[in-house]
Amino acid sequence: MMYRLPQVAGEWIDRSRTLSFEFEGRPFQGFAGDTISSALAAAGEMTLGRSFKYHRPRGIFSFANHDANNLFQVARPSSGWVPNVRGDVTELAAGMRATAVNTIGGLARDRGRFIEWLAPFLPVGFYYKAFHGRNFPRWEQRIRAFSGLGRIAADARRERTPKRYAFCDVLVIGAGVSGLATALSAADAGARVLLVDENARAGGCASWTGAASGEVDALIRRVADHPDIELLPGTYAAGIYADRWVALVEPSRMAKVRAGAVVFAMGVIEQPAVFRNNDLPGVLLGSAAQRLLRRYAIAPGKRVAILAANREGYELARDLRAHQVHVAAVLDLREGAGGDADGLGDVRCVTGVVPEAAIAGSKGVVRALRVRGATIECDAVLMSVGFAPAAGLLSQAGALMQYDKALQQHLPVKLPPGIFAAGRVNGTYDYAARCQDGRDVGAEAAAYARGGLVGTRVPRPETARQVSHPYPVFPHPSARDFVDLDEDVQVKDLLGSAQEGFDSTELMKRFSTLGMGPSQGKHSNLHGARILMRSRESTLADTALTTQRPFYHPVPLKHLAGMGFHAHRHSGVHDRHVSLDARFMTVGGWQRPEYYQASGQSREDCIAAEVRAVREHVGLIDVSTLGKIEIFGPDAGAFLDRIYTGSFSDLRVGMTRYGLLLDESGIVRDDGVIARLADQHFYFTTTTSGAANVYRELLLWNARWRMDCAFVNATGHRAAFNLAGPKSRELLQALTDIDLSETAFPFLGVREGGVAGVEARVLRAGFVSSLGFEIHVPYRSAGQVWDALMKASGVRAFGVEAQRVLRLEKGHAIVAQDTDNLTNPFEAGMGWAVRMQKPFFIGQRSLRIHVRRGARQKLIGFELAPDQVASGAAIRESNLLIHLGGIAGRVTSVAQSPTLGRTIGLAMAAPNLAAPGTPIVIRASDGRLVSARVVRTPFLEAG
Amino acid sequence: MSSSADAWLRVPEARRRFGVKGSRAAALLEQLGLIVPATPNSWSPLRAGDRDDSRNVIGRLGTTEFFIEEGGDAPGITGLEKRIREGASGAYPVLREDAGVVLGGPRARDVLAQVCNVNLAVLPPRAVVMTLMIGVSVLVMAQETDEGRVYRIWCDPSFGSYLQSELEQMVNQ
Repeated sequence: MMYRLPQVAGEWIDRSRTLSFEFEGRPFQGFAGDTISSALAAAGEMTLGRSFKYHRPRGIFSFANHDANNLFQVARPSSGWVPNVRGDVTELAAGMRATAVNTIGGLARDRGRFIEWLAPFLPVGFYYKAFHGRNFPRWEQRIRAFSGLGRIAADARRERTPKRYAFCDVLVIGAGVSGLATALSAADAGARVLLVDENARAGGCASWTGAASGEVDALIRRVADHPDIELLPGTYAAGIYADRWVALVEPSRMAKVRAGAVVFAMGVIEQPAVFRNNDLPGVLLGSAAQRLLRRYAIAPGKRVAILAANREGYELARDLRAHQVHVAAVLDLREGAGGDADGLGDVRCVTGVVPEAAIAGSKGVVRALRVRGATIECDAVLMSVGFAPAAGLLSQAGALMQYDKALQQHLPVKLPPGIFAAGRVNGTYDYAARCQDGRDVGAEAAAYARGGLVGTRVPRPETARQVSHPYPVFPHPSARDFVDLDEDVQVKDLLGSAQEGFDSTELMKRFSTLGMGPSQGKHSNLHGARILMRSRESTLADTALTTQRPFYHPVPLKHLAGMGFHAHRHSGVHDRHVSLDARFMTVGGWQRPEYYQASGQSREDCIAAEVRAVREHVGLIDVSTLGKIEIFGPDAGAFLDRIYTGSFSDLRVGMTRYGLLLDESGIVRDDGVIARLADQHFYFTTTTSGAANVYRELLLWNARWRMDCAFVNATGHRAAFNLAGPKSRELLQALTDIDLSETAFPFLGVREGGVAGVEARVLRAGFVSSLGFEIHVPYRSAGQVWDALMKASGVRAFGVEAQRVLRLEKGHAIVAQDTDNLTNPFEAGMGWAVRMQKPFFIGQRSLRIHVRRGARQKLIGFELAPDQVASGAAIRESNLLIHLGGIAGRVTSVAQSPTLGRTIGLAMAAPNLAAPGTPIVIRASDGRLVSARVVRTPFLEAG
Repeated sequence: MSSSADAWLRVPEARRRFGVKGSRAAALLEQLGLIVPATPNSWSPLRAGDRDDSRNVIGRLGTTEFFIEEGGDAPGITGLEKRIREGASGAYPVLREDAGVVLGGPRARDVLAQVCNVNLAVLPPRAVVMTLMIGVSVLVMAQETDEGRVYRIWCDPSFGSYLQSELEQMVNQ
């Protein structure tokens, strides 16, 4: 059982500050600086969680932020519940309440623990096999109820965390010995260096092995004092992307770093031995025990057995003895090894060991280790049998990794430009060699970042010392020999996968779920590949490990969400809409009034009243969101002729014309009104959502055609209002010096002049009513003009919903609502806007093909039959037209018309249903079939 | 104005802004006695002899487009508009109703690092940058003033209230 030791030199805890917390409803105490797991371990609490599949009791295993079984649901006094808190690295806070995730009824009495009895019925690939046939829904519900880690609190407070962008010449990931040396070397060469490490303090493995601690401390001090190095502890690199763009996760935020060069000095990840019950609480990695010992003054047990296969295992034993921890035995997997045992006194050292099983005591915690020929009584089993490189990010960066048989480790053999590796990830293990490696790499990285031409550095690792056992896997006939502790994957599962034909690392991963848990295979991928290769009588050199993808560690969603910026746009009279109690909607990034709330009226009544105001008197709508583009120059007219389907080079100055824009496949993409203000000056509108795209297309096309014209996107810089209704002329005339009479200013005309004292462009519009004026003014003058218009008697502001009804009554289609990605202009009834005889316009060639093929659909107007009036409310856009039992079209627009007193709409229909008078049937959202008939548009001629 | 101990954000008093583009735009500016920045994506005080921290500035956006901000009666802009209206060929008016803010203080770089992936902290002295800032297209230039380095930021006016309110939040953090 673990316990707290007297003060250990360099410990991370502050014994003068005791913190009280709860775990599973029981009170505990720890010290400031403890993590949740270390505080529990110090109290002798060995079982900290339950495994994902079998609900087996689990404890500390790696203590390196890789353990999926030490996840807690945590509540702090200042915030609600947070799921999946990593207990090994999360600092203890006073008042914390923690519970284990993945339990039913609590950790001790977890009702899910009985599932292990069903293990014979849960073979590898069980999930896939269960989801077949009639049992599928039932199995899915049961598995969903049983699965998952942590509970989300629906009432959790939204935390907005800032992000930042950062820039450096050299980014060094990993602040162990080689990382520290790299950073110093690069900074001394003139580079600005950012040095990050996921641990709370720099020093890497020296901080838990104690090796060369004096020299490492000196390196850390030099780094802290160096003006060109920024050290970020407690920060991990979550992913690396193109052009050396790296996502760093700091405790309180995410930083997006652009680096001139990136050095990976992330070291290695200790690997477990695989044998029966290697997952019991009390069985842990040697490095975990040393982290507990040196950082938190915690002994792994009172009687410790060490499974070793390298020098590190013996150093571990010496370290424990130096801290008065009893080592029962060092059990070396290697034959004949013994030279490392110096200084171990009376510790029993045995070589050629074959582990068979860890044996559990009454509380499910290890009490003995059985090896071939002996049983060792112990309360802790520490494994020091080898390492795998922490090369996930290196792989993401594009490094080519190859297995080195001498070192039993994958090494980077080819690195992309600007990417470097140093230290143990590079195959360099001894202290002096790691320092030198760091110095060399730092200088190269700095030279690269400053623009020096360097070749791809090929690492030259040291030879000789074996640090990793080639195959520390000892399958047991009764299984429970876990390869992946996240997913409870055993050796037989992997052998079974291969037997069923999933015999590559990628397929085996997906079939068995090896490496798919929160640790993403950090302790299992290598062994999985070894087991697979041995089953195929091959070697690791013949296969690649599975490709590592971001993120390296799980990233809190709040860091990804960040501040939650949502860029949005306001017109120049937004505050006027607010004061009129507008209800807003978002259209193309703009906040637009959907309607204006009148006191005591429903939404429908407000909209109907706005429609009536326009029909009977005059209404005013803010259409500032329309795209507004100007084109100048000698070729302006000719350019528009090519872009739009109509003719504009022959448009008279002072007139407008409808413009229809197609893509190259002849599909309707956008529309607007094009005004000719002068011989070489056109001003035209686009749809709200299409403004940016249309402008970009114009620039792209002219980059090819190189016509003599210039473009200005004035969309946000001009406001626009539509004054519509029978009284609109009379009202506007009082505010302008422009002659608005029919003869002076006919329909489709455009004039420039003053409106309410502001220079304006006025267009005769007919989108919502027969008489209407679109007034375009500079953004900053919008309020002045709006106020002047609204002061006039009888003017009512109307919103987007009323506009939709009004234009529908006039039979006007809206691009991208009444058309879709397959609609050409002839199908949409817009053939009148197409001048096929022009030499060229975009989409012309495709349109000829469409014409030859004939229409597949037609946009029709419809109204409900008189006896179907009550059903009108049930008809929605996208309701289907049904004919002879099949789908014959869909509703694109529908509304109850206050003017006409009936439900009207537009629909895309099969051509044989398009003739006026044809009866059609619409399937409403509630499933009812509603009768309607096709009618000509517009539904309303005058008004 | 928003400010904390080490960052501040101001909305300058009403100033006129105007743009001109076209193959003859540079020549027209010279005829009117206004400075034409020598290189694309650079700025200059509007007139020869103006101080480097003058608030009357002209920016060259690319090769043939110019952006001017001028205070008071804005005689430079007025003259330019007049010449264009009179039919100066090859020079076309660009309506500029931009929203503008000025950001300064020792923490200004930290604020900018939260909203823009261009390293504005190392912006060369006369550079104009056209980039994105929290989803908004902006123009940015840096000036050395009595208050230290300040950043002048302009954007489409319809995004103005959003950009300003978000920057204010960060300044006040």
